[in-house]
Amino acid sequence: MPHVDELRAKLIEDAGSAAEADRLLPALRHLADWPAPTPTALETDRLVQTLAAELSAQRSSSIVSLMAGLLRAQLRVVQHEIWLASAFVMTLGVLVTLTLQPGTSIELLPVVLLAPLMAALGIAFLYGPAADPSLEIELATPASPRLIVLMRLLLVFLFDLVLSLAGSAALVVLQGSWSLWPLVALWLAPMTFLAALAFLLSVLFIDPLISALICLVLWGLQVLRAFPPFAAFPDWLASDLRPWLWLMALLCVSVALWLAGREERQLLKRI
Amino acid sequence: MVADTFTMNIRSGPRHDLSAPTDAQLARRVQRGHTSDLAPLVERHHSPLLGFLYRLTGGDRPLAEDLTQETFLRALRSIQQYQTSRPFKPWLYAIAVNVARDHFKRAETRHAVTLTDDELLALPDPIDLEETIEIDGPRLALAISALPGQQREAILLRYYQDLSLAEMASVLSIPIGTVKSRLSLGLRQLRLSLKDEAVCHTSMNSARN
Amino acid sequence: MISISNLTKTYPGKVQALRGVDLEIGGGMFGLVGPNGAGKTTLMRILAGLVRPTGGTVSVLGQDVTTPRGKLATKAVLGYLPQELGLYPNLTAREFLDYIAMLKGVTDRAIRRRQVNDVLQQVRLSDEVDRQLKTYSGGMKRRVGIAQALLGDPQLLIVDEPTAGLDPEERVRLRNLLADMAARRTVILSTHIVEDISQSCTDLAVIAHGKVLFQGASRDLIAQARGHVWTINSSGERPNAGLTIVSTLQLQDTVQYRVLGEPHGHAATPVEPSLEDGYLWLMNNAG
Repeated sequence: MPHVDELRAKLIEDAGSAAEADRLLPALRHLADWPAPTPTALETDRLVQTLAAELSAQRSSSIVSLMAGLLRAQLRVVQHEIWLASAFVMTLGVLVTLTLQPGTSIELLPVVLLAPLMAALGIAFLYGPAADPSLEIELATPASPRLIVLMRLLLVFLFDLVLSLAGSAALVVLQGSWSLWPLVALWLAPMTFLAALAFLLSVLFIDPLISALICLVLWGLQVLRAFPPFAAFPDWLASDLRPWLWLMALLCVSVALWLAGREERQLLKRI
Repeated sequence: MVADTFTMNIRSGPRHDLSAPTDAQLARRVQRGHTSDLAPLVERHHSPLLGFLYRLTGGDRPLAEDLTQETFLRALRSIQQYQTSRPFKPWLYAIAVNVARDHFKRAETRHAVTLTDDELLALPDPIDLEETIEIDGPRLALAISALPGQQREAILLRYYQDLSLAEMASVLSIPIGTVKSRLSLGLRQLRLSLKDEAVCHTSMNSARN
Repeated sequence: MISISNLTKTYPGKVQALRGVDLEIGGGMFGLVGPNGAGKTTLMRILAGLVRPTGGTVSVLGQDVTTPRGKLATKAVLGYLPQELGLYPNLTAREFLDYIAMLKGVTDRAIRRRQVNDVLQQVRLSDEVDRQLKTYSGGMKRRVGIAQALLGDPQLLIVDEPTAGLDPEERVRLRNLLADMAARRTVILSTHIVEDISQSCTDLAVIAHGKVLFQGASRDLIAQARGHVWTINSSGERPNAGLTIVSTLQLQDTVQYRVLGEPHGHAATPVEPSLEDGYLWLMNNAG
């Protein structure tokens, strides 16, 4: 509460004259006699709890919007060649498949053979000096590098997934000799695993070419299984291998994400 | 847009005194999601804000508590819009004033009949200068509560929250001149209603005698 | 603001980048000067939470940067411009800044747009924002780099060799911009060009071979060289005898050499030392 002199000075300023202020002063000296309740520590505590809950509700909605925002942002940042190459490969695969004889084994269909490779190659190029020119700047922001890289991965993988589904659906519609789900089931697990592996290799070597090459070789062996020398290679298209492929995919992505968050390693390996 | 409208922290005094962060610093940290800085900020302003809203509502404690919580919630929801280069207190009180006004609009609370500003100005100045107004706390409280909304806000912000004229202009989003006129009108109205009180009181006393 | 105590960093391969650095950095502009390979970039990266120290402690705004929490707290108030400025070539300046603003946690689109416009104004790039970054000149790219560092109004700006490779006009412009920034926040500027910090730094440190050779005010560094700086006019050969030639000035008939050291036998005029003289004197004596 202001001292009487301060109060008087204020009144003079507000009321416009000393005379007026003096008329008011006797009454307004009682300003302090109108006490207001003060909250107890407990009441303040409860208020803080309510507000903290509100804040965390805001934050979780903002983490969601951050992820959504990052996802959208990756669209601009991911190199355009990846989208184009994938679309091109899938279209080609569908067209070639259409030229084949109806009796061709489902496992040899181009779409089945190409879907995993297309995803792997696209994702291999998601990570590396060309993909992240601004890495050092990005690492200095509070955004988690793991989150960024995960969003990028999801984006390209989902794109390739949709593309492969569309290609498979197109075949089923145009050719009619196969049904959708068995077709999709064939390439789904291998594609997921190969993509995850490509991701891990890219983060590990920070070199998309090495990753792409290794994936190419591995998948090449799979394709060549038809020929005797390579018959010993495990058949990734086999249904009993699928659970393992999913597991391995999960493992690869986890390790890759962990590595991606090691800023020093990511930074220095590029120099 | 001049460069200095971009949020700059204009600080006087020790820049990074970790022992006593300013409201603006705390608010900035809350903006960035640091929940731990919420508590000190709330602790600083809970009591004075409650006091302000208590008097603004004419002494209605439960209502004042509701409005206080509503003020803090609204402040939190719009915390990203708070510019840390501007002082925090006026920003918070601006929200409080709006919360109170919204409530009164909804509740259609009616105040004691008061004169309009023009009518007030047209009144001749009371001549009896010597008559000291015998008044006490509760009567003053009543008189302040009976003021029209805008004058009441002004009087409370000025005499209980100790805001400067500039801060009040910021809180109420009006020019300083308007702040001054609301204050002077408020004081005039106060004097009138207090005098009426006193006259009633003395006439009652004399009637008794 | 920043306390560094006995900081060491040894990279795999036994490369000792920092060998026990002690520094106290307060508000305003702080200059970190040293030759290439002195450890400046390593120090900047440690402060920014990008590289983990091998030993010693670093505290920024009271937080230990080596902990995940401290790192995040620092990054939340940090603006960083690295020496190697990589930009996405196909993005426009506006798109790039919008992206970085998002990474800095500004999820609201309207607030992001406002921040991006503000920084573009500050670095005076408002006219060319919608061109792709690959079309930008070196100086313009640097300005984009500063702009992204300014997003979010950071309290701490770390700028690593910002003027390298810029033409003189751009360099002056950048220096002035940084000086303006330092008025209201802490700016740490690392450079091997002494001129960059001569006007604006309140405090500076000289670092070489991973150790701090000097920390203090500019005038103290200048004072070290006082009495050891001379100009020698010669129409014949260059002065030698253990003198360091700081600069040469071509006059009408003679060449004026500005030298450091003891000018035995030469007709030398003593001159007031500059910051560069102080720096060179220090480096000479450090061996």
